[in-house]
Parts: sequence; C-alpha cells; structure tokens
Amino acid sequence: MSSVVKQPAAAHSVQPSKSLCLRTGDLVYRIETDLPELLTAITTVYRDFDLTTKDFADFHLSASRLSRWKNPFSRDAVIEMIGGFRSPVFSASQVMAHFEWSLNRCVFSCFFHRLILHAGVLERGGRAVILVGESGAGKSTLTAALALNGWRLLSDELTILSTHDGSLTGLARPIALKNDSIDLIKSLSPHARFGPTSFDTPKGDVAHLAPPTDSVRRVHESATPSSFVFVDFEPGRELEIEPVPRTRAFMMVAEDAAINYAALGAAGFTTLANAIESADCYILHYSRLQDAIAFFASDEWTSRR
Amino acid sequence: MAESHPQFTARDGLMWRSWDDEHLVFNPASGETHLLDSIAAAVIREAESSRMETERCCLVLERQLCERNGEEFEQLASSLLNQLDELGLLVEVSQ
Repeated sequence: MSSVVKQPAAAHSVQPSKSLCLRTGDLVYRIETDLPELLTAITTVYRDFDLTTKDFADFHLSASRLSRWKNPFSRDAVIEMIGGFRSPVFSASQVMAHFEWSLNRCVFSCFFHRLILHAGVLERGGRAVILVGESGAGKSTLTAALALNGWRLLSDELTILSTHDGSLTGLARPIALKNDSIDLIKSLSPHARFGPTSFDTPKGDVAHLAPPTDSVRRVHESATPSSFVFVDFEPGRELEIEPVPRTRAFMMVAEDAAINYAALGAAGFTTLANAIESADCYILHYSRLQDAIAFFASDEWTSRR
Repeated sequence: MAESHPQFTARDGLMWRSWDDEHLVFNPASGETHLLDSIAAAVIREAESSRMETERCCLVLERQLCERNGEEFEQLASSLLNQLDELGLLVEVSQ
C-alpha cells in the first residue's frame, strides 16, 4: 500500500479577496470573499438586484477558505457575519446554500420585531397568498412554479408581517429548491436561471432559482395577506382544496411556521390573528404541479375572495 | 361543616379571538396560546367579570349544553375549573 499523500489535482493557491455590495429590499449586505464560486453564483441569481450600491451596509459578511489550498472536496470554507454568527465549515462547492442560509439569519436579526413565518408568499392582483407547509410538503416547488407563471414573488422561505399594520415585507430573493424539485422546475421552465447546485448539504441537494425580474423591481410594493394555503404534496393525489377553520389555521401557523411567535408575545398573537382574520384558509392537496398552477389561475380560485 | 369550593378569577390581561364558535386565548403571563371550545371560553369570560366556583360553573354548563343541571355537572364543572387553573387561565382566589 502506498503511503504517498497526493496533492489534489485541482489544488492551487487561494484567490485574492473581492468585495461587492448586494441590496435585497431594504437590506444591504457587503460581502467579501475569496471564493470565485460565490461571486459567480451571486452574479447569476442576483443579476437583477442592485450590486453596485454605495449605501451603508446593514451586514458585513465574509466568505472564505480556511486553508491555503483549494480542494473542491474538502470542507474548508466558512461564512461569518462580522460581529455576529459563523456558519459551520462546508465545502466551497456548497457555498451558495450556506450563503443563502446566512442571509436568512441576517433577516431574522434585522426583522426580529416583525412576525416571521417559515412560508412562501406571492401576490397577484393585490391578493397575497401565504404558502405554509412542513419540509417536503412542496411549498418551495409551488412557490417557484407560481413565480414563473405570473405571480409576484415576495419571498420563498420567509414571510414577514409588520406588527404595526400587518403588511408584508417583500424580499424577492432566489428560491431555494431541493432534490427532485430542482429538475422538476427546470423541466417546467427550461429558460429559468439557476445558480449552482450545492450537493449533499444538510438539506440535501439545493439549487437557487433566480427570482423573476418583475418581482425584484417591485420588491418595495407591500401587500396584505388574502389567503393562507397549507400545502400538502401527496403522490398520486388528485388536486383538492378544503377550507380550514381559522382557529385551526392559527394554531398550525403559530406552532409550525411562526419562527418568532413566542418571542413577540402579545404582538405576535395580535399580528397573526389579524392576518388570519382578514384571510381565507385552505389546505391544498396536490400531486401534479401543473394542476396546482392551473388551479391558482382558475376562476375557482380567483372568485374565492 | 359544609365543604367549601375553591373560587377562581380569570387571569389578568387575557387576549381573545373568536371564530366559528371556537376561541383562541393568549395568556401574556405564560406566553401560551390556547384553543378553547365554547364551554371553556364561556367559563373564563364569566370569570373575568366575577368570581367563578363550581356552582356557578354548573350554570354556565347548563346554558352552554342546553341541558338541565344533572348529577354529573358538578364533577364536570370541578374538573373544568381545575384544568383551566392548571393552564394558568384561571387563578384561584382566597375566600
């Protein structure tokens, strides 16, 4: 058996650090990185965003390698928020997934005084639909499909409700798709713009779909919730939509989707109750994405409110 | 000597929302939200205005269930008051 340790063929010295500013909605991030993978990914999925802002940055992020040598297979990259968190160490090929999770953490810390739901939210004709579902329920897949079919994307993962007036804050950031849903959305929309796939992350394979240009342009347009839809992807099931009593909907959101409900106390209760009261609540069972897209474009849906 | 029943008042500051005969109540003291049926909600609502004990709770049950006060009512009322006390939605008061 040979005891010679081979240097990885792809190894070469680390890139010099580069810096860019990214504005998403109201937040500005300054990002310094020596990872060309990240720069390429950002300029792909954030192409429609302001990447040249000179404004004060709300967050300073550093994405870098820990070692001198570039090895695409080793876990040697990390993202840090200056004065804040530090990500787990990951392979540089997974940087986009970890970058997006880092931005989520920044959003939490900035909007902690608003009610944040782990839910997708889209708007059409002034009606905002909040898509709630546990992991694997098809929430992000449906969010992506609707965003590619005329709905304005406010957010894929984080629905942010003002505790003051209940309005929704848009982020319009890339949509995180996982595993089989990546190819499903690529087949549904072959011209959709994707970032690189981060393989074997703690959430499986993750790829980010660039948000529609119109959603990015209109990110500052607020909206109010019109419907809460609990998404239930179930293979083989015909599409069916059933009303959910508001009290049940409230408890499902508060217990399973509201990230900072408990921390907000009375303000969280009032904000969620007002949102549920002003909306209709449904469970959507589906198995075929095309059926769900057609349903949300149908008179049956548009006539509901 | 007659057995004295505990008396309760509703926890201060409870926040309510009611839809379709189901009720949500948020308890600021615990930070917990509870889903209540109309009977439990009626008992707490009445305890917000004046002291609640088993006999009065039986009257609430009678009204809510539209049934005459039966033998099992006292046991049911006592159990309900204890449950609401344990949840922190009612507070026992000294007589």
